[in-house]
Amino acid sequence: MKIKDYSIKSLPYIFLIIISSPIFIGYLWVFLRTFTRSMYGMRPTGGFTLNNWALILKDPILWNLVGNTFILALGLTIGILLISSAAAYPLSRMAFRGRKIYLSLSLILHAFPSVTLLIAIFFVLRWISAIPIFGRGLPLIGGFGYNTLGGVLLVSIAFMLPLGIWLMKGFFDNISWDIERAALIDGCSRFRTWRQILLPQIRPGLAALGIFAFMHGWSSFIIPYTFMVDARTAVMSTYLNLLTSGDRPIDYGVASAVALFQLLPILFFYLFTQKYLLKIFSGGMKGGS
Amino acid sequence: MKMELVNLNKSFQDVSAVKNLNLKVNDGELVAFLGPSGCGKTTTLLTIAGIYKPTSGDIFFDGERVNSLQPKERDIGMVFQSYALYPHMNAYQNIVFSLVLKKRPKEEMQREAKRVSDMLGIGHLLDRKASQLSGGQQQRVALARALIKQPKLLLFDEPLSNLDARLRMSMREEIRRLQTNLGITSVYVTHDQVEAMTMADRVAVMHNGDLLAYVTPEELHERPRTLFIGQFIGSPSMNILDAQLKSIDGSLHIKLTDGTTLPIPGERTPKSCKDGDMVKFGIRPEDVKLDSNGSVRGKVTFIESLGREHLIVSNIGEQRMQLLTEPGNKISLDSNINISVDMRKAQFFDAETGLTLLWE
Repeated sequence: MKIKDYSIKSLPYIFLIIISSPIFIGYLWVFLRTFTRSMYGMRPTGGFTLNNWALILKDPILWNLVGNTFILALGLTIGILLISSAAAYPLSRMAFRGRKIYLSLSLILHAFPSVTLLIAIFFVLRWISAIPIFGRGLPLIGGFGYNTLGGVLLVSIAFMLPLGIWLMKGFFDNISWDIERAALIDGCSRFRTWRQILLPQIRPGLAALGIFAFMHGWSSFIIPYTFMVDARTAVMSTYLNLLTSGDRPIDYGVASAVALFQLLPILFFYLFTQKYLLKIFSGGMKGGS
Repeated sequence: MKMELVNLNKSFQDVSAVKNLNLKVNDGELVAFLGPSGCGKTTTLLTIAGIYKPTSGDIFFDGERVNSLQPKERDIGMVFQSYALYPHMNAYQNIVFSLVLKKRPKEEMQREAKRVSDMLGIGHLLDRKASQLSGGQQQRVALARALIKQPKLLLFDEPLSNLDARLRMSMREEIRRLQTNLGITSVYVTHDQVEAMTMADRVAVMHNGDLLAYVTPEELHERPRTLFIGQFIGSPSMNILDAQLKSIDGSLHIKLTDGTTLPIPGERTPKSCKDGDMVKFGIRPEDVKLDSNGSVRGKVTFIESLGREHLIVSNIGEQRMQLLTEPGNKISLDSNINISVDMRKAQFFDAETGLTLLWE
């Protein structure tokens, strides 16, 4: 009887393990490949080596890529947090003409596949490029035009905003009206209420969205790939694409090492922040603040 | 401070929440807005606070029109049902927040915080966060936060509804005592008629956005102007029976549906009524007694123990009558009882409009 219970209980686990094993095997392969000269299936052949890692870590381009990717991820995080939390407040709290339309429109935009807009955005970015300084003369991000990191950032933020605004609106919706009324009566302006009373209460939501945005920015591919001509030196994901496609024979050892290198920060980040990430899905603020 | 509402209207889209409200609150008075949920009392309160703008009509504080003033410019304090403490601040920060916004010196904040927290007995809780306080303590902190501003007008939005019954009673007393001592004009919104009756100087009964009555608690209880008020005020609520006016031997009686007649004392003669008119006859359960010589015969359908007394529900013909008795008498379900009615306490309402037939 007991053994039967046990086996029935373990059935779902066995099923889950089986369907997720291809992903595990894939990652395991990547991990092993970085330390071997060659592999046949899952079997390392030709012995272990650190050459793959040495090759990429010595390559100055890698650190350039890490820098760019980091700027993109961080920029996306900051941009999304600022704009979403500011936009979500009036959408959650104020009555104004067009509010409903705006909300449903942004939801539709979110459902839209971003690929369909790539060509249109190309023209927009080209147009922005024509603006002096702002277009292509800024330090660090190069500007907001075509073929600049800032341009990629701008487009990434725009694509992610509907999600960010909706999430933040959900968090604002959860705060009781009375607290805001109490603040208004105590002498706050609307802005100060937002800044000093409401934002501290949705801190878990901000953290979750921030982490989400960072991870999204860190691994984004299609936008940097499309809007940076020099995609090779753009971000890590595009570099990885370059290594695994093209007319040269592919060095899977190096490609795997770059892939793993890109993966590691995310993995660490995730380990420490998954508790906040879960809040996005529960939407609550249990134990918050 | 004197507060006056003149022809106040507030509607949301096409729903009218407050209709043409006219009301004066005297200096130092505590006025309760009483009504079932959705009657417009909280809307009125938030309009007074300046959170909502009136659709039409005016609000005057000491004769000055404040319609366009922001909540922070109105010199008010407000206490909410949900307490509405700022969860990321501790009790002290909550209490002095309004002074922080006014950039008052630190010594003044500490002095004032001590003054109000001593008044409310929460001095030892000041470094706790809202989540570490019980409901009653949170409500005290919220009250302290409202009082520290030394407001000219205090607004209460069902402040005791989330507390348990015992705490509610002691807080009721305490709020009333503080309010009287400090002499702050107050508006108190509640759906609990006991709260309104025990605390308020005057009670404004609201129903569907209309002001039905604005009188003292005694007046409200003794001279209900409408059927709604008669039933809403008092617990257990007033018995309402259909009856017909009948003149017997030259004196006016009511005839209940089962044929029983009861004489109407002269001072309770319904106005502008004639023989044969149908009326709603109201009598409170405490004015109905078990009496073996009583002329009304009923059948017990339900007995409820209220501790100090028993509530007996009986049928008189087809109609329901509740009465209060002392516990210990051996009344059983389905037994027949005789009842006497104190007709000097009778109320009469128009059968159609529900308006009183006795009072001005």
